[in-house]
Formats: sequence, C-alpha cells, structure tokens
Amino acid sequence: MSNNPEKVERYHNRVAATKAIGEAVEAYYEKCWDDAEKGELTAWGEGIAYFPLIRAAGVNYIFADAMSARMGAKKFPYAKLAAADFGFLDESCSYARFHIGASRILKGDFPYDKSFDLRKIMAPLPNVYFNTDCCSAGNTWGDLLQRYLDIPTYTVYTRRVFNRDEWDPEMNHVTEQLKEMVTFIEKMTGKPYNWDKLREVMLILQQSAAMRQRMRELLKIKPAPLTYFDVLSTFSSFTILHGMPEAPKLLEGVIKECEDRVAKGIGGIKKEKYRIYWIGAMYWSRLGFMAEKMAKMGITVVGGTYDYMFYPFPEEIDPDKPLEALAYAPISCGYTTDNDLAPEMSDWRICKDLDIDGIIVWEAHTCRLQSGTNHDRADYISSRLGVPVTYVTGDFVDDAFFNEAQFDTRVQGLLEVIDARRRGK
Amino acid sequence: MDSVLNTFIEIRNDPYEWIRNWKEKNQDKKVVAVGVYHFPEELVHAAGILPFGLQEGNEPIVEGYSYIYPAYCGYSRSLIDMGAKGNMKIFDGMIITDICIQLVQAQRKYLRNFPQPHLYLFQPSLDLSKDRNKPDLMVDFAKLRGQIEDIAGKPVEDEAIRNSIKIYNKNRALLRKLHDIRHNNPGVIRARDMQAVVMASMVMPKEEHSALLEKLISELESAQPVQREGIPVFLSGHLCHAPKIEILDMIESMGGIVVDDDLHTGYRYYAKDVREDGDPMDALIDRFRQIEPDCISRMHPKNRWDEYLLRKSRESGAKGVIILQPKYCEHQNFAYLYQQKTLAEGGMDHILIESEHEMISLEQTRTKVQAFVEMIQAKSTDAVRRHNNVKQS
Repeated sequence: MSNNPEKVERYHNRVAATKAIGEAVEAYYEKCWDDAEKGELTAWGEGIAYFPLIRAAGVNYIFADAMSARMGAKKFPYAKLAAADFGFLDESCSYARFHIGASRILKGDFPYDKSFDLRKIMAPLPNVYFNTDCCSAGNTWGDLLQRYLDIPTYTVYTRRVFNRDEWDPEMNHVTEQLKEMVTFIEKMTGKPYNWDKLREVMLILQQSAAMRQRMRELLKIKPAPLTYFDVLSTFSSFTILHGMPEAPKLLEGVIKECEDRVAKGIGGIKKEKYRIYWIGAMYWSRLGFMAEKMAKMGITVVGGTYDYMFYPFPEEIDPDKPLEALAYAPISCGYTTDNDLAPEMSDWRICKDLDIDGIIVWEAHTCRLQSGTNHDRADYISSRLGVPVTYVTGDFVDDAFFNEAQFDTRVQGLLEVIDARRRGK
Repeated sequence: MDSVLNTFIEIRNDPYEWIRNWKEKNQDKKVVAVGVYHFPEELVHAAGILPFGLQEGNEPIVEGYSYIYPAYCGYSRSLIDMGAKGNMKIFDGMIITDICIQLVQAQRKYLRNFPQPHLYLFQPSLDLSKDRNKPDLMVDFAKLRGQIEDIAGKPVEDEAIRNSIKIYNKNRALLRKLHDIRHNNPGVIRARDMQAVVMASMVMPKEEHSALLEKLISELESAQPVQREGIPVFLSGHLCHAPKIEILDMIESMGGIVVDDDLHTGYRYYAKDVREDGDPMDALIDRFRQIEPDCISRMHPKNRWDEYLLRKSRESGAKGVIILQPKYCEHQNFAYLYQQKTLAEGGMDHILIESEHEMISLEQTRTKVQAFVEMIQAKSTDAVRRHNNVKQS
C-alpha cells in the first residue's frame, strides 16, 4: 500500500493565478478585522453597490453578498440557524438571512461552535450600512440591520428604467443622491471627501474592467483557456478588492496564464465537448464543486449574465466623471432595466461569438430579483440563436435548495438534446 | 341586509367576472387595473376611469409557470398566470405599484410577454427618511398623473382630483364606521363578509359602493347585539391582497372573534384620509408619507409595524394576534422578526399562519388555530381561577 494518497483526477484546469486573488481577499478581511479593533470604520453594503465611493473615503467596505458566500464556503452553519431562531423562514432571501444571522453571532446573541474562527468566516460588525435598492429584500434587510445594530444606513433609491426616455432623468436622480451620499460619508468620517482618491479608485476599476473584457475575448477561443467559473472566482477583485492597486495586477496574472495556455493549446477543462452559457447567479458557496462537475461532463461554461454585473465595461468608467459612472452601473444592470436596454441582453450577440451549444438557467430559490428575470433572458437568447435551455434549481449560498441528482438529470438532458441536434445536422 | 351583502359577496367571489359584466354594460367607460396598496386611486377616478383593484385570481396557476419561478408569492404568480391566459385584456391599462420585487417582476412579465396598451409601473420613492423623499414623490406622482392622462386621452384637472378625494374620503369614513360597528358588536358581521365589503370597494365605482354601504351600516346599526362566546383576536398581515376566506372561516369556527385588523382588505385600506384643502397632488403625497398603519414596504426609522401591532391589538381588546402570511412574502417574513419579539415581550400571544394560492394542508392550519384558541382560553380560565382563589383567601 502506498503512503501517498491516490491522486484524484481533476477535470477542471483551474487557472492557478486565481488562487492569488483568493489569498488577497483573505488578507483584506484580516486587515478589516485589525482595523476594526483599532476603531476604524467598517461599512457593509449590498447590491450593485457604489463601493468605490466608500473605498475612496478610506472606509473598509464589506460586500455583504460576498460575505455570505464566504460563510457558505467555510461550511459555517450557525448564521443560518441564528436567522431561523430570529423568525426567518427558509424561503426568504438567503443573503439577508445569513447577514442577520451573522450579526447576531458577532453581537454575541446566538451561540456557535467556538472552534470556528470568525475572522476566517465573516467580517467585523459594521458601523454603517449602504444599500443600493436593487430589490425590496435589500431595503428591508438594511432596515433590519439598522434597527438590530443601531447603526445608520444609507439607501440610494433607483427607479426601474424601461425605455430610453427615462434613462437620462434617472441618471441625474441617482447622481444627485450620490452627491448627498458623499455628504453623508463626510459626516461619518469627519473628513472632507477625497475626490482625487475617488479618481484613482475609478482608474483602477477601469483597468480591472479592461482585464475582464479581455477574459471575455479569451473565452471565445476553442478550447477556451479558462471557464466562466475562473472568471467568477476573479470577481472579488471588483466586489472586495476594487480600487486597490493589486486588483488589476492580479487579473493580469490570470490573463497571462490564459494566454500561455492558448499558445500551448491547453483548455480550461480536460476535454471540451460542449460550450454552455449560464443565466442567473451562481452557487457561490460551491464554486469549485460546480466547476469540476461541469468539467467532468465535458462542459466549458463560456460565459454568463452575471459577468455583466459590477462595472463590466472599461469604456463606461470615466475617472473624470466618477459619479456618472457609478450611477450608470445600477441603472444599466439587467435586473433593474428592461432586457433590450441591459448590456448583457443587448449584447446577446456575444453568445454567437462564444458559439454556445445551450443554456443553463440557475434559479436561485430565495432570490426573486434574479430568478424573476431568468425566463425572459433565456427566451431572449435562445429564440435568437436556436439553442436549447435547461432550468436548474439551487441558491446562492443555502445548500437546502440544491438537489444534485435533479441538477445532473437536467443537465444530462440538455446535453442529450445537443447531441441529438448535432447528429441531425 | 342580505341583498346588499350579496352584491359585495358576488364581487369578492369573482371580481374579474364582475368587471367583465360591468364593462359590457358600460362600454363607453374605461377601466384601469391598479395594484391598490400605496396607489392613489383618486387620480384614476378623477380621469373619469374606473380603477379596478387587482385581486388574486381564483384559478389554479398553470400557464404562468412558463414565465416565472414558483417561489413567488401567490398574488404575483396569479397576476402573471392571468396575463398568460389573456384574461387581462379587458382592461384599458394596468398600473402595478412597486411595493416589492415580486410585483415589479410581475409588471415586467406583462411588458415583455403579454403586451397590451398602457402597462405602467408606479414607483413611489419608498425611503421616507430622506429630505429628498417629498420632492422625489412629486416627480413620481406627476409621472403617474401623466400616464393616467395618456390612458384617459385628456388632462386630469386639479378640481376633478379634489372632487375624487372627497368621494374617496367619504367611502373610507363609511368603511371605518363599519369597522367600529364590528369592533363594538363583534360577530355582527363575519370576517369573510367584512372582506367582501372592502374588496368590493376596490372594484366597483366608489359612489355606488358608498350608497350600498350606507344601507348596510344602517341595517347593522339597528341589529341586536350578537352574543358570541369566543376569544377576541386581531388579524394582521396580507399587505397587498386578500387572505383566503377558508382561513377566516376557520378562525371563527374555532372560536376566534375578529375585533380588529390591519389587513390590506381591511383597516389598512381605509385607515387614512386625504386632506381636502390645498394642492390635491400634495395632499395625495402627504397621505402616502403618513407612517400609520406602519408597514415594512417603506423605509423610516419610526416605521415599526411590530410596535403598531402590539398597541393596536391591545387597544382593540384582543387576547391574541393571528398573523396571516402569504408564502414567499419576504416583506412579511422580515417584519415577523420583530413582530414575534415585540408581541412576546408585550405579553400578547400570537400565531403565524402561512397560506398559499392553492390551499394546502388546511387541516394542519386548523390544528394550529385550535391549539392557539385553546391556549388563550386556558390562560383566561387560569386567570379567573387565580382571581377567585385570591378572593377566597
């Protein structure tokens, strides 16, 4: 018997450089804890947040949705339990439940197994909460945190925009609110707002967005040198490390590795048989598991709608007009505007360039914002490209809503349809 | 009394059938379907259009599932299903109010999948805590007025709005009078009938409803006091559509006597009047900005439904609160966190009953309600026994 454990065969060729991003994120959380212990401000926020505005003020920002994924990935069960103990029903937004639950644990109001190190699982309690009003659950979740933690919250109210005529007035409406948000931040920090720093943060964000656009181009190559899961694992460079000088450098490392792969003909998975587009959010707490599962089926997920969240295009980020760029992000997002105006939809042609064989729609059981738009999005693209669609059910972070057997059956069904169509050609 | 009530009951039983018949008889009149909660119906009325308060349909959801994920509340799923079946073409326009993401998505489904003229989303700015809230609302309400003018094909004059405000205030005053009659003589009108009266007010022309309601009130005022044994309860919940009458019946059959409520098809609908003097648009906005009856769909630090619920249930003489929560309604579930805490700390017993569009597990609900009523009865008996023991000793 060998002393070496048997090497498990892996089908997903994870881009190694993405690991450095994960390490940078962990270092960031550590910094947030250290700073909070020194009395520095921590902000939590959710949605298509205006996080560059907060970063430029020197306030540590925790993207609440990402923190939920962190809790889920670390298999920490107590946040969900603490929420249920407070009166939450399972079907309500899992991000909200995980956050209220985390707040109860951090506040010492709910017991947990002390062998878990909270510094590795969540973030320090916030001094302030920022809300983007991307959905009603987000608003009420902010209100609950305000009351439970007795902290101020700031909500930027965004009207849904359904036609071009409504676009410019709403841009002005949100921009005006962002100016008021700056005043709010100044009061909170007791310092004049650092507009030069905001310009710098936006410039870095623009550089990062350019890297992400390059990734989209790389995904068009066959075999694709990376997968959508690799792209998503770089998202924290936007949601957590945004505006930090290391963010574009880390992304550059990912691109360099992918370009090397292209030169050597190495794909993002072992053997690419199918190219699939992913609509909806993701099973964030099991990203590696999903990446491997897809790869094992011969699927390269070559793109998805979530790639268009969080400042996806460099040309839309003008560091000299930062508030306008920040206002544009939530208004143009497909969750708040109509499909025809949303970049991920009006840009559906990218699916043609990606040469997709089919679509998987991820229905996040507890997210009415995202699961509410999925059907239309899938219909929008499939009717234009004639590709088959399958719907799978899960959640962002709550394992209770994912059924692996059901998932496998539905995806296998999709692949059989694709195979049958190929045979028919 | 029965003939008046029967008109209301007929509407409650099938509001869509009723409005179809009404349209046939009033072919020169326009009807606009509106999401009633937070919506200033007076503006539609002032345009000479009948506002029809959108209700959950009676039919099982079938076609709608091709367009929406099932974990949506029954009301929004039902609206989408009726759109998919083509049932909503009878309306000359539809304006859904943004009180939650599920209704926003329902409106989007119509825009993309079931197009018809004049589909709008009314988006009142919900953050009441900000200085900019009122100016924002002036923009939101002005936009709504413009959309209604588009449907009407003519301007909506201020004077017409003032007149509509008076007509609506009168109806609300009558509904509050009925509410008080029920409170003072519990059991004089059943919960299901009270609901029918309010739902009919959301559907039929206000002037006709007020005339019928005056008759009903007059008959109820002369009715003998009803002697009913039971536990006085406060009904809470269902922010934007009606609870199932089967559940209301069950509560009463298990010994609950409804003495007050904050339901959408109840006090919440007629609680607040609109100021009749000054600028009418300003008055409609001010009504929207009044916090009471508190709810969770608007943001303000003083907006605390739980505290409102405890105070109102105590004032009503209720011995318990029954919270009726539509499955998948996040607003209500979020509100419940502090409701259960505040009610418990205030010594007010409560029970949470979840309901679905297609009624499921009614027997389970019956057991819960029965246990709740018996628990309160037992507490009351214990209290009497303790009181007697003290007196004897």
